[in-house]
Amino acid sequence: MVSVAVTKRLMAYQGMTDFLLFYSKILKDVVVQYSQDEDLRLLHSDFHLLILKYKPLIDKLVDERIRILPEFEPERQDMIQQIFENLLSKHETILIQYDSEQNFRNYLWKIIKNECVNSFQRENKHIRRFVPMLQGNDEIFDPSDFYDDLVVKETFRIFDGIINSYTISKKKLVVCLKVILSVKISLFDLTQLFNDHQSGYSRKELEDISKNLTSGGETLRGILIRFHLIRPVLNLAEKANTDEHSYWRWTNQQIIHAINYLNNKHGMNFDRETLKILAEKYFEDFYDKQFQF
Amino acid sequence: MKDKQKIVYFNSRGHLNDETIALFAKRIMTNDESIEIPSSVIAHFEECEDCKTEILDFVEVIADSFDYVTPLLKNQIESEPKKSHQEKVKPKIRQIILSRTFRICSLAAILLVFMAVSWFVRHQVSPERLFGQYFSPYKNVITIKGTNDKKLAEGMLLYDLKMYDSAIVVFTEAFMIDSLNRDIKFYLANSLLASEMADEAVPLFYQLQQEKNGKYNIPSNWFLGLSYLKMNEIDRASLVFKEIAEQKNSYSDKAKQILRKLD
Repeated sequence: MVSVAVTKRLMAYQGMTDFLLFYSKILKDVVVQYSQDEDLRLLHSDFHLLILKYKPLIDKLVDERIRILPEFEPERQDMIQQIFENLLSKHETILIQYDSEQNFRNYLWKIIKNECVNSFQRENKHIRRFVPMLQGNDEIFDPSDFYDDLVVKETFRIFDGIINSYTISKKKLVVCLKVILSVKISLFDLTQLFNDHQSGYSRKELEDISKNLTSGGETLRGILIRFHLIRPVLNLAEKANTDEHSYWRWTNQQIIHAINYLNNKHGMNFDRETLKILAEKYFEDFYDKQFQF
Repeated sequence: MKDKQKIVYFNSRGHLNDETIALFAKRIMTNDESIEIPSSVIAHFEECEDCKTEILDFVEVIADSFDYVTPLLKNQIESEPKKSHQEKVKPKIRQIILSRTFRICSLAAILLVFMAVSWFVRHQVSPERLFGQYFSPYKNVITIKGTNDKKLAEGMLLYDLKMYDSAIVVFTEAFMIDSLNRDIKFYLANSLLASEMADEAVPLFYQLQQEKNGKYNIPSNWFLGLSYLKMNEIDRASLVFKEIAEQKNSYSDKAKQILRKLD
């Protein structure tokens, strides 16, 4: 039965977007809340049923990896079974560790992901084989390389999702992140800040700014110097009058949000340093490559 | 569509409402620039972590990456017999679990773990280890108003980012300008302690806990004790923790635990 609160939310529809999408948003909240209430009840009354509820999630995580690493296919059932068994044995630990303020599904997802990683690593010890290389040479093939690659790609996808969510301020975020991370800012990055309108800067001027932005290193002083240099360009693009400290604070705030999102929602374990490594790799191997002509 | 002026983007709590979240998610998913997002909504998205998470979550849902809306889920639970786990356990594993050798080995392992844990519990813990166990920098409870607090705001940002070395530099500059500011003094002391400069943190915590009705009296006393612990001055640390243990505050239980471990 739909509660009064939910009906009220549905009644608030203003026609801004498709009704189906709006309805899906509310439905998602209701399902998540329902699921959370059910999880909390099952956690204390029927743990086995609770883990069984999340069995499809185990299957999904294992299958995602097997799609990339098909040599694990014969072990699929064993791995799923083992993860399932391991989860069942964690009841006491979960009762102690789990904070009921947290979404149980997200909490369990982290555990399942870890179990999944362990399971693949265990199996990997047994699966090592030779594959012919393109040139006809034989080389030892280690599936763990592929597995690491898969994890990196997955993290890039999520990080790319975060960057893209900034819609019209995405270009500003990219430039500000590069300033903080001391990653090279290209002429393309700077011209992109202005979208379709004229920047007022000549190509030569933007090139000079781009070159100067490589100095200063990763110290706080260096970061602020770079923000000082880029500030007029950002302000012109934003039609704002923001100082370098505010740009720095804004970027740091977005970094913290990204870290929390990756950790809380995706069961990762990022801190400032590791996010820096991720962002550097993301720009180098993924983002900047899209715009190399 | 209703008149644009009448459209409400925020709920009564000041966060983005359901429809704005759906609209924002659609804009992200389709990358359709004709979907206009008002600047106030974008500014809120950049500021508010909760709304950002809500939007990113919903994008995942409509992108079918998550399976929140799985109508089959409940049916599946109901259709699965309760004892299916036992039925599913492979005979080989069951055989191992039920075997006498396995049970004896398990008992021996449990006994061994119990003995190891008892040894660790009884064994006196080093002050350094105790410090590591109990110290975590005080959370940021500062509300910054006005531009006069710019230095403090800068320091607090670094503090939140756990960049304690840089925070010390900024707090010290602020402290030189306003040495009576308790917030600056307290968070400077915390940053010093987090950067393993306990000897420099001690005078600051001492001054703060001596202040009459100071808002940092209680936490400063706790951190003073921890600073002594860090400096391996166990007698002084014990005196401070005894004082805290006798009081009734949020640190009393922890102080009692430390005293027990120091005995």
